[in-house]
Amino acid sequence: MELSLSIFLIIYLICLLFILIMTIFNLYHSWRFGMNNFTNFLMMSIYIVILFVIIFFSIKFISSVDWKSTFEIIIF
Amino acid sequence: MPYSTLFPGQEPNEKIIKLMRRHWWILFKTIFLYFILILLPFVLKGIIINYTVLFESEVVSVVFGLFLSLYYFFIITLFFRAWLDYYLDIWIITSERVVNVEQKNLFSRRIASFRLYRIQDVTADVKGILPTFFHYGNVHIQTAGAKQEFIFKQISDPYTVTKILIKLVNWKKGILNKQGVLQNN
Repeated sequence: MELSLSIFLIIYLICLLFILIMTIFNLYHSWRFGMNNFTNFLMMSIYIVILFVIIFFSIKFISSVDWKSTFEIIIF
Repeated sequence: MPYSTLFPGQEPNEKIIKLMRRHWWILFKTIFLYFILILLPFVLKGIIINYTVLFESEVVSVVFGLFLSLYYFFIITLFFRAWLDYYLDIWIITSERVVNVEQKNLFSRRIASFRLYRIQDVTADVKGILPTFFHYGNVHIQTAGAKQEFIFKQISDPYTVTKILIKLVNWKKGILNKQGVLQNN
């Protein structure tokens, strides 16, 4: 049976959605209860910057893959 | 809107005596654990490349790449969660009361407080080698009535905090006794 590699991309995007929800809640808590001080602001900034770095490398990797190519599953 | 005060209900002339979080060692342990978790995929990949031929398959490479991306998203998100747990869990001693602000999980935040004159007993405990070495431990505060006890968890210098609290409680009770509010206590 042949499957497209894009199936992994769909699973990846579903997991990413879950992480996105967690990220939104994290940032909300930090903003709402973090008392508007420098330490909190610094940590939020570092968190967002690291997220963007991961997003950058993820997009770079995803765009390098041919998602239309297929692979074969051997069913016994 | 973000809170402009340390805790909701802070009175305008309420003086903050001490603000406490968990000891820095607790945060350090978390940072160290996440540092190990960040390095883990590189070590695993190194082992797999050296001892197997798995990465010669395109599918394995693609799955590993996607897994790596998700893994780092998870790690950084969980690390920020751990930081928030550390940073938003605070215990405050004011001139009027003791406040406990605790971020339980993503959807639960608990703020509790009680007046200084309600405190009946304050004890500190430092258990274990590392707490003894780094001077951190718990402070247990018991109040009058059926209200549950407060615990300042893993704070720095618990014995000093206990002394400060006992002094404050005696001072507050003295004032209230003079005013005739606490005649029976």
